Amino acid sequence: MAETNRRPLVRKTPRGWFFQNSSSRRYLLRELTALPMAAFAIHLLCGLVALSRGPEVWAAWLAYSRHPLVLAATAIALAATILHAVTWFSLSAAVVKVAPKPVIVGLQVTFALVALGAAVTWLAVMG
Amino acid sequence: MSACTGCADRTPPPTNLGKATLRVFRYRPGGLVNGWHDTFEVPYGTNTSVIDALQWIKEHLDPTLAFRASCRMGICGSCGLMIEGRPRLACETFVRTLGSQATIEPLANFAVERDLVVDKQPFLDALRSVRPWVVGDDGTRAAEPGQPAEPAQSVEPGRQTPPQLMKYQDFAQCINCLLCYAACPQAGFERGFLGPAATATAMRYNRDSRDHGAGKRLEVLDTDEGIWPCTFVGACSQVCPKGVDPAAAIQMAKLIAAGRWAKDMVSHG
Ligand code: SF4
Ligand code: FES
Repeated sequence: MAETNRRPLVRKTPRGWFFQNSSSRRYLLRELTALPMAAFAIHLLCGLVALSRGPEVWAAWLAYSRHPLVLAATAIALAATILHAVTWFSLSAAVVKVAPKPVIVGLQVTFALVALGAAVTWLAVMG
Repeated sequence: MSACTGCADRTPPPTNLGKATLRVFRYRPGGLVNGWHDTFEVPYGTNTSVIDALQWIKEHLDPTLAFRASCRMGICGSCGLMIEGRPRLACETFVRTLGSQATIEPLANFAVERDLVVDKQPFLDALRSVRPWVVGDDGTRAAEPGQPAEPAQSVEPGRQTPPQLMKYQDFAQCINCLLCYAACPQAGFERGFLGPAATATAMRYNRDSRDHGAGKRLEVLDTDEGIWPCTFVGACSQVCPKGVDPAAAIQMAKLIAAGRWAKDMVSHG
């Protein structure tokens, strides 16, 4: 290979890249919604286990779910789910144009079910 | 002064708006290791683009300033720069729309050769790897990357209906300006990532009714450095000056790859 004076400068992505502009901040927020959603999923799973262990354990889980802090966490999870669904769909509006219809409908139904599930649980526990 | 009533609805002549300050990134092989910024004062008017301003600097203040530009009308794709931290075409960005001290830097996620000039080779390699041409059914045009395509045996014209054209027309608008790569955080972390524009071009040919190369392209797309580093940030489509929507192309390719995987599972399972 011929001699070269090239010294291409490779720049590293700065650590705080996701704070640099509004679009990456929004992306960060969308990714962070996974945390409350995961916490809520674990909480629901515990509920299922409690249900299988008998009425007392179930009642205890219900009481635990009514704790103001847990209620607040559930509300956050619901908000996160809605935020995720809305931002995801605004992004994927164009994919609708190119993806097969059944896939899109399937995804929409899945998201709707997850959001509905969170809402129903929240209301049930509140009530 | 004579008033021309017929000209009333025409664009007014450019007005001088004063001076703007540009902070321009500089880099020399063998110079300061990480480059530096120079500040220039440039006169500008209503119609001064960032390319005009850089050209003015080159002609009046510093002839050593290096940058790329050609068409100056948003079609050649050579003038992509980070303008105030955002990837934009310098010929389509007017100085009057910038802040009082605008920073101009080379496209992010590419190595800098000199000043505002980046090394586009990784993208050109990625583009070539997806066979950016119509692969014929007789395979004769299916030249390997880097080899000249053989002339097709058939002399039939490749006819296409308007709906068939519409299936890929958006993806065919790409001007290889690489703004999408500069916007993509994954392109920064995974330097081998095939990336938005190359995938959009792959899908442009996959969706072409005359093409028979989708299978070969999927081998390139469906890899750890193909479409899968994409986490659907969506920034590529937001910055694209041509409305290509490369993010949609990548998600589409993911669906196809996942579909093939599911099919393989069923047929082997
Ligand atoms: S997809 Fe858009 S942003 Fe990316 S290279 Fe093509 S024209 Fe430029
Ligand atoms: S100079 Fe051609 S796109 Fe800007």
